Amino acid sequence: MIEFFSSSFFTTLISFSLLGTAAGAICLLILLIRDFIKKQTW
Amino acid sequence: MNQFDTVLSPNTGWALLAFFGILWIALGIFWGKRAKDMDGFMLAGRNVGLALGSATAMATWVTSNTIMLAPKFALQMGIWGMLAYATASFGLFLFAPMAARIKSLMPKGYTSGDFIRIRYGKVAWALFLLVSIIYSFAWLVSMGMAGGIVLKALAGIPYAYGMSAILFVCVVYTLYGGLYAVIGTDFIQSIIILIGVVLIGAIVVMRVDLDTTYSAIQETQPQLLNIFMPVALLSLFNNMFFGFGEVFHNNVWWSRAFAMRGSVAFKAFTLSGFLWLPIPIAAGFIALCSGGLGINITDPDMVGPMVAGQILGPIGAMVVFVVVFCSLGSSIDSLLAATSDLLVEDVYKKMIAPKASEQRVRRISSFVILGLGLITWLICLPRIGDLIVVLFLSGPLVGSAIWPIITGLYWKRATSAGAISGMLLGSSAGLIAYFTLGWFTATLIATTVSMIAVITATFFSTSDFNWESLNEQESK
Repeated sequence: MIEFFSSSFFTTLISFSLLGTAAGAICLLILLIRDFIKKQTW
Repeated sequence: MNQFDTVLSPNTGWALLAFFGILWIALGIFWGKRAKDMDGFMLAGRNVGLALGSATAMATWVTSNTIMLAPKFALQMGIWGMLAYATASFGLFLFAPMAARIKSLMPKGYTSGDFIRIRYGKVAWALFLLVSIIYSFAWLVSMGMAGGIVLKALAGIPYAYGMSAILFVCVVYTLYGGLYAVIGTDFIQSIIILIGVVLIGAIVVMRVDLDTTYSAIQETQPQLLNIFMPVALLSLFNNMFFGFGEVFHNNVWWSRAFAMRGSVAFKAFTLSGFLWLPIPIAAGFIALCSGGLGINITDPDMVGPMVAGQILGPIGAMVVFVVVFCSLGSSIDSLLAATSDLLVEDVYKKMIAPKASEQRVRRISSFVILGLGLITWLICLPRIGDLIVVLFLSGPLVGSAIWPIITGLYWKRATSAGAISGMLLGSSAGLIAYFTLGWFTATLIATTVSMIAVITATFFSTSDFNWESLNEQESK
């Protein structure tokens, strides 16, 4: 029976969380540019 | 005191505080010029787009507690601790369809209180306002305190000065700019928070081998890797329901739903959930590296900044300082604006002076923001309690509001009796659980008891609510 999270799960979880956070920042900036061009910021 | 005090000098701390403080105030005044009327001041003109809408929902939900407590959760409950904190993002995901429905049912609505008043009547409304205001104060106080504590630990700025400076800056720019200032600064703060968290995490990953960290945890604290850790699993559900309760009931999110363009509300809240989800893990895992690095944690509340400072030195401490300052600002400003809206719209306009002119309402709104800031400052000054105590004590109250909100939005048969009994019984049971069983059960129990009360009352009801009456402007 598996009792502990594996080393690969631990590493993957952290790597994906960092990549996801970075992607979030890029996504927001792209969306802002898009909204700005379409004059839909606010 | 700990070794971390020396990492950032008080002068650097004050310089960062002054720079960002002046920047937020200047931007607040600049954007505030757009607020020509109360719709502009309270709801940023009801035309907010996807980028600003997503960023403001995410930034508001990234509180100082996310940056400070996620590492503490990881330190005490390991992998489940980080995952437990991340489940708070589910509140944003589930609020997405609700935001779209709120926008379509109440296109001219102002507050969550408006909804409860029209949907359930005045008794439920009074109870809801009480829950909402207690919770908003608990949140404001927990952040004011966190601000003072973290500024002291990072830069040696005395607690009272740091806490006062943060509150002062947020009060001033919210006062001048209303929701325009809040949403505008939230976008910049979101980008800084996301980049800061990635920067710290990436450098930690480059300096510390994750496999070695895993082995060190396995050797010294294997329970942190345990898949079946009862306390952590309970805290996961507790945190998730706390997140639901906070987002569903609080005017902070309702005001954003009202402020967003109709077609944007669903997408913006969904995206904000995705943006928020990885942050507690990215910010929290560094605490798990403390053992392998031989860092002695003297204060679990400070584990994140301590590890970042120890590994990254003064630059790391500066990044943490700025990220925490932004996360504090993005939440305190939102709470000041949304709670003031609730008090002005629901208490002043509805109870005291229904015929007050727009100019007078705006002036009252300014006094309320100032008053909220002042009361928060007075409560924060003596620095009472632990961060988690302040945060989770309000959990049962908000947990009990989940079902009245959901059933009220989607179920015609939902009744006032169900909402009132749900909030009363849920809060009481949750508070009893908090003091007898532990904080990690309180919200879970409050939500369950409230659910049983609300659904039972709804099941026996013959009520047939007319959704159109929620559109107050039209139905007048």
